[in-house]
Amino acid sequence: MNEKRFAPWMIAAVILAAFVVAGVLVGLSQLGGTSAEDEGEEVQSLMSGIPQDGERLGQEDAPVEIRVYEDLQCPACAQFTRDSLSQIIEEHVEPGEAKLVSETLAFIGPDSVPAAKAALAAGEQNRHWQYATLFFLNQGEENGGYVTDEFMTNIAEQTRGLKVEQWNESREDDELESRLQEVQDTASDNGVESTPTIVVSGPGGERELVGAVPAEDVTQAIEEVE
Amino acid sequence: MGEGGLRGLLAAVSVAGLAVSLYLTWVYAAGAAPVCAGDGQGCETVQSSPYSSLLGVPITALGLLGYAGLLVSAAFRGFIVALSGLFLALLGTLFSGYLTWLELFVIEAICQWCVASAVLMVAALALTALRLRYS
Repeated sequence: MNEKRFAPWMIAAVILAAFVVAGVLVGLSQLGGTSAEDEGEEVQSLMSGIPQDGERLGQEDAPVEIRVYEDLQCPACAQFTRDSLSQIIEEHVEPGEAKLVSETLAFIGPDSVPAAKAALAAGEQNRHWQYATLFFLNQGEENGGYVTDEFMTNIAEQTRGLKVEQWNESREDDELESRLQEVQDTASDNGVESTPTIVVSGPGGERELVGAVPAEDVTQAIEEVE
Repeated sequence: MGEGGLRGLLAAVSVAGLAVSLYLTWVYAAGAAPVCAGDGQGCETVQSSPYSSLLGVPITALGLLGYAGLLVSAAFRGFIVALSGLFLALLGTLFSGYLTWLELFVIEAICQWCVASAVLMVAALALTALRLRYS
C-alpha cells in the first residue's frame, strides 16, 4: 500500500493541521471574549470565588465590616467603584480580612428607586455587587433619564450568572420598597448625609470615610479597627 | 492490547464524551444551569462566560461533533480512518487545554463537566495514537 510509505508524512501533516485549526479556534474564541462582554467578565473575575449573600460580599465571619452607603446615580460612588473597589476587594475582602456590605439608598432622584431595586433584585441571586459595579461603570448623567428598563436589563444581561427572568420578577416585589426605607432609616439614624459614606468597623472601633476616597484610606481605617 | 481492543475503548470514551456534551448542550439550549458538584456556581459561571460559544455556536456543540467523529472513526478500520481519529482527538485535546486554561486563569471558575470532557479527550488522543501502530 502506498499510504504506508507516506505514513510518517501524513501523520506529521495531520498533527500540523490539528495545531493550525486549534489556533484558528482559539483566535475566534478570543475575539468573542473581547467584545462588549469584557466588562461583565472583568467584574465577574474580580468577584468570583468570594462568597456573596444578598448585599454582602465577603466571608460572613470576616473581622472587619465595610458598609458602603451609596446611590446608584451618585457620580462619586461610581468614582469610588472605578478607582478603589477592586483594590479593596483584592487586598482585604478576598483574603477574608473584611466584608463589604452595600447600603443601597435611593434619594438622588426618582430614577434612583428603580436602579436601587434592580440591584437589590440582583442581590436575591447573590449578584448585587456585580450588578451595582456594572451599573456604576456604565453610569449616565445624574437624573438624566438614562435609567430605563432597557438600560437596567442590559446591565442584568452583562451580569454573569444572573437569571434575567427571575431578576425581572424580583424587581416587582413590593417588599423592596420597605427594604429601601429600612436602609434610608439606618442611614438617617447613623447621620449619613452624603454618598458614598464608608463605615469601617471592627473589634477596635469604627471609622467613617466620606466621598470617593482612595483605597489606601480604607486600608488605613481597616488597620485602625482590626 | 490489539486494534480491536483499542477501537472498543475509543468507542467507549467517545460515547462518554458524547453523553457529557449532549447534557451540556441541552442545558445551554434550555438556559438552565448545569448540575455541578460542590457549591455548584463554577459550572454556571463558566456557562455564562462570553467564552461559552464560538460565532454563536455553543462550545459544547463543537464537543458533540468531535466525539461523534471519534465514534465513527472507532467503528471502521483503516489507516485514513485512524488518521482522522488522531486529527480530531489532537484538535480536541489542544482546544480543551485552552478552555481549561481559560477556566483557571480568565474565568476563574471550574466546571467539572468541562474537566471531565478534557480528560476524555486526552484519553481519546492516547488511544488514537496507539491505534496508528496497527493501521
